[in-house]
Amino acid sequence: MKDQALIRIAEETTKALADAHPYSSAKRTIPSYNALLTAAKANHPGDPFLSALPLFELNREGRGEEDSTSTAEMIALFAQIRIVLESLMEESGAQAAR
Amino acid sequence: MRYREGTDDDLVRAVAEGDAAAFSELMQRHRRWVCNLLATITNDREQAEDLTQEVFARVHRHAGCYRGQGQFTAWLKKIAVNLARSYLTRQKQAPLLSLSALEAELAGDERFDPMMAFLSKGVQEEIRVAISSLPDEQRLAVIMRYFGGMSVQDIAWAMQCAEGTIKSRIFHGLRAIRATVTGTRKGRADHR
Repeated sequence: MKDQALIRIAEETTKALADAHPYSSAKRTIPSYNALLTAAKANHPGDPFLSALPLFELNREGRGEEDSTSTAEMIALFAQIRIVLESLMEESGAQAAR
Repeated sequence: MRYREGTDDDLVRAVAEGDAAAFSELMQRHRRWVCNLLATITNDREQAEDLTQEVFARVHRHAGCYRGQGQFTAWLKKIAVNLARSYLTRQKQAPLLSLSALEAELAGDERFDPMMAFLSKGVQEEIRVAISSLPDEQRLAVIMRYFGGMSVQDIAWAMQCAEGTIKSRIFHGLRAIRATVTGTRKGRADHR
C-alpha cells in the first residue's frame, strides 16, 4: 500500500478516536495500527525513524498489552506513524527538487 | 440521569426536540474543554467563558441542523474555532502561542486534549524529545495537527496566520524531528 493511503488511514482513525473519551479502551484499533506500521516498514525497510515505533504483541487469544491501551495512547501512536511517513515524503520531495 | 449513557448524537437529537435535560448533559460533558480551547486561542479566560456560552447557545439554536454521526465533538470544535476567529478579528488581538501556556490551560481536561495524547506513554521517548525541542510555533503546529487531529485551516485560524505559514512550520518541524530521531538512532548504532 502506498504511503499516501497509509497516512490517510492513520488520519481518519485519529479523527474517529478524537471523539472518544481519552481514557476509554482503544483495543479495537490495535490490529489496524499493527497493520499500518507493518505496511509502512515494508515500504521503508531499515528506516531508523520507523523502527522507533513499537508493534503490539498479541497472544493466541488475541489479547495482550492492548487491553490497557487508552484512546489517548492510540491517538499518539497513529500520530507518530503520520509524522514518520509525512517526514519521509517531505524528505523525498526535497531530494527530488534538488 | 437517564442521559448518562446516551451518545452525544442522542443528546443533540433530544435537544433539537426541546429537551432541556439533554442540553444540560451536553454542557456537562463538553463545556470544560470548549472553554479551555477558547481560552487558549483568545488568551483571555473571561472572554472564553462568554464565548463558551455563545458556543452552546448556537448548539441549542442549531441542534436541528446537526446531521453528523458520531461527529459532535468536531462540530462543536468548528463552532468554537469560528467564534474565536471572529472575536480575534474584532479585537485584532494576537493569539496565545506559548506551548507552556497551552499545557497549563489544557491540564486536567478530559476531552479533546492534544497534550494528553502527546504526553501519553504511547509517544516514544526519542520522538517526544525531538518534538519538545522544536521552536514553540513549530511545536504547537505539529501537536495540534498530529495529536489534536486539527486541519491546517483550523490551526491557521487558531494561530491567526496564513495556512501557508502553518504548512511551513509543519514542514520544518517534521524535518527537524526526523533529523533528531534518525541522528539519535544512528549515533546509538555507531556507539555499539
